[in-house]
Formats: sequence, structure tokens, C-alpha cells
Amino acid sequence: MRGVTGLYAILLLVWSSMMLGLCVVFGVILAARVPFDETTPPGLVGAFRVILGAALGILWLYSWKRLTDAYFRRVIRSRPKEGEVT
Amino acid sequence: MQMELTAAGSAAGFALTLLLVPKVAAYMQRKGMVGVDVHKLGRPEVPEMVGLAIVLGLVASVALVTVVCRTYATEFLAFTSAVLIAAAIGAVDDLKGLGPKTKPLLMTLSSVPILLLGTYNPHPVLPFVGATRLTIVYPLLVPLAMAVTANAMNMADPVNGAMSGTSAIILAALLVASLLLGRDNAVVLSALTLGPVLAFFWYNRYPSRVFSGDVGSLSVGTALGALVVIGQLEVVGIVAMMPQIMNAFCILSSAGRLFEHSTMPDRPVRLLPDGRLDANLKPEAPITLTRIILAGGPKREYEVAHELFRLTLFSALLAVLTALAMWGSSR
Repeated sequence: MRGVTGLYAILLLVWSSMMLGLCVVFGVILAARVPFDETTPPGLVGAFRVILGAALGILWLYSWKRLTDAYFRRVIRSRPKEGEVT
Repeated sequence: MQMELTAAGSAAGFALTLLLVPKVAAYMQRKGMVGVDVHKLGRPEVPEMVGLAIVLGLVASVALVTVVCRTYATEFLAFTSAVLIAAAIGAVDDLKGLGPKTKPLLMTLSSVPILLLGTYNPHPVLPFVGATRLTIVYPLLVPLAMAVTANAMNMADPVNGAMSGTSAIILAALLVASLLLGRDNAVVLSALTLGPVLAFFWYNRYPSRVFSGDVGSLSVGTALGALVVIGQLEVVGIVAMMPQIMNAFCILSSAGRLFEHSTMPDRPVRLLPDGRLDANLKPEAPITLTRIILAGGPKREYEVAHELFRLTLFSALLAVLTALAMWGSSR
């Protein structure tokens, strides 16, 4: 299990943030009434909401990548150098 | 009746694939279609493209079930056509080699049968939210979803048995989720795919006697993509495939571009003189899930495979929890 436990924590964190993100995107962003709903064409409002939802999705993917990269570099740094006696 | 038929179809697909694998392997060996197992000291040659047996077993079992029961004939036709398109693209890639950009682009074609036959529902059910409306966006996302799942499974075959073993776990999770949510078409499709994949795993597990080739991995990935779209298991599918998505995303983002295995700048994993695998310590090597698993220290190849199975099993459990949340929110 050495060096792998963190991967399970990452998966759990990614899953929880995905559940929360879906609630925010579909329960709040796509469902909420915004002040310019009445004055703007519905297609435009829909497109704006989709772009905002997609932006949050990309941010989520980017955070996932940063987390994995950071975890990998930390584990690599913590291992003994080649030829080093531990 | 439907449960018995599904079980019989799955068993038939399992048995047929079990019989076909040695025959396809012998044929590929005769034709010189062999790949080098780079993670073994002796670098043995293993028959390639044997994933064709999965496709044949799957298509035969779906055809068998459709002949007996026509309830989901349109869905099954879309599913089978998508898998066959992926298999054709995979075969061309194995034989001629497709470019790193051409392959993912071509994989979007496997969504055509699903879109043309209209076997998707643009109202996906989400956990804690319930049914949503994505009438315009959903059909645009289907080709993307098919390309992502197919290529993610294609990239998720770094060690013996990894692709077939993890696919079997994902399919089992989708089967449980579809049973929980009462998605009968997805129950049948996941069970029918699970049979041939499990039979292939018997030969593909460590030490591999056969390799699936792109024909196998792209077909299985497409089957998973088609299954989640047709069965309305989108979120469950994403959660179950988190390790494979993580692997694909890590490779693409660390390399900064799409590339083929053969043109990889530096291999992510190296073989030690004692036969163990270790992470490549060069900073320019691409970050893959296998390299992350090996970051803590060297491991035997089967230990890496088992770690991949455990990670996928963990995701599969989270996928079932997601299905439970969907079940709760749709009541």
C-alpha cells in the first residue's frame, strides 16, 4: 500500500467535489432565476448558464490534475535516492 | 424471463469468448501479429489483437438475446453498431497505425448509431438533483463521451490484465447500478458485456498469454460509453471510471499533447534487473497512474495490476453509492 493510500483519498475527494459540483451546477446555476432572465433572449441565458457550468467543470478537472501532480511529486521526493542506504 | 435470458446470454458470450481466444491467438501468431511484453525480463512475444474474440463473443450474445426477445432491439442495434465501428477503427490502428489525433477523432464516429437511432435520453438523472433537461447540449456530448471512454480504456492497459480486469469491475458496478435504478436495458447490456470480458481476462491476466490490441480496448471502452448513454448511467459511469479518466488526463496533461505509445518521449515505467517495475525518475517522463503507483518504490507487475484493480474497485463502490443517491433523488 506504500505510496498509494493518497490515491484513494484523491478519488474520495474528487467524488465528493463532483457530487457537490453537480448540485451547484444543476441545482443552483441552471435552475436559478437571474435578474436579466426577462430582458435577455432565452437562448442566450441558456448558453451563459452552460458556459458557467462548463467553466466550473474545467476548474474541477484542473484541480484534480493539480492534486494528482502534487501527490506524485511529494511521493517521488520522499523516496530514498538511488544507491542511498536507508 | 428477461433475467434468465440475460444470464443465459452472458454465459453464452463467456463460453464463446473462452473458446475463441485460443483460436484467434493462434491465428494472430501465424500471421505474425505479436507484441513484445516489455515488462518481463525475457521480453516474450505475445499474440496481439486477440480482443477481437471479445467483440465476436459480445456481438453473438447480443444477437442471441435480441432474436429471443425484441424489447430493446433498437438499443441493442445501436450498441452493437457502436462496438463494431470501434472494433473496425481499432483493427485499422493495430494493422496500419492511426495518428494520435486521428484515432480520438475517429472514435467519435461510434456515437453515430446512438444519435441516428435516438437511443439516448437528454434528461440525465443526477444524484441529489433528480432529472435534468439538456435537450440541446446532450447530443453534442455523446460523441465526446464515446471518444473519452474508448480512449481512456485504450490508455488503461499498462500491465498484464489491467484493461480486462478493470473493465470487468466497472461493468459489475454498472450492472449493480442498473439493477438498483431499474434500467432493464442497461442490466442486459452490462451483463452481456461482462461475460466476454471476464472470459478474456482469464487469458489476459498476469502472466498474459494474449494481448487485446486496440481492437479490444477501443471496443470495450466504446461498449462502456454506449452502455452509460443508452442506460442513462452517465454519472455512475464517470465515477466508476475515475482511475482510467485520471490516468488519461494525467498522460495528456503531462505530455502536453496527444501521442502514440511508439512515439512516447520517455517511458513512464522502467524494468529493473530483478524483474520488478519502478517509476521512471526522469522529470520529462509522462505521469501515468502506473508511475504514480510505483512512485513509492518498485513493485512486481502483478502487484501493480492488483493495485489498479483495488483502485477501480474503490471507484466502483463509489459508483454504486452514486446510484443509491440517484435512486433516492428520483423517488
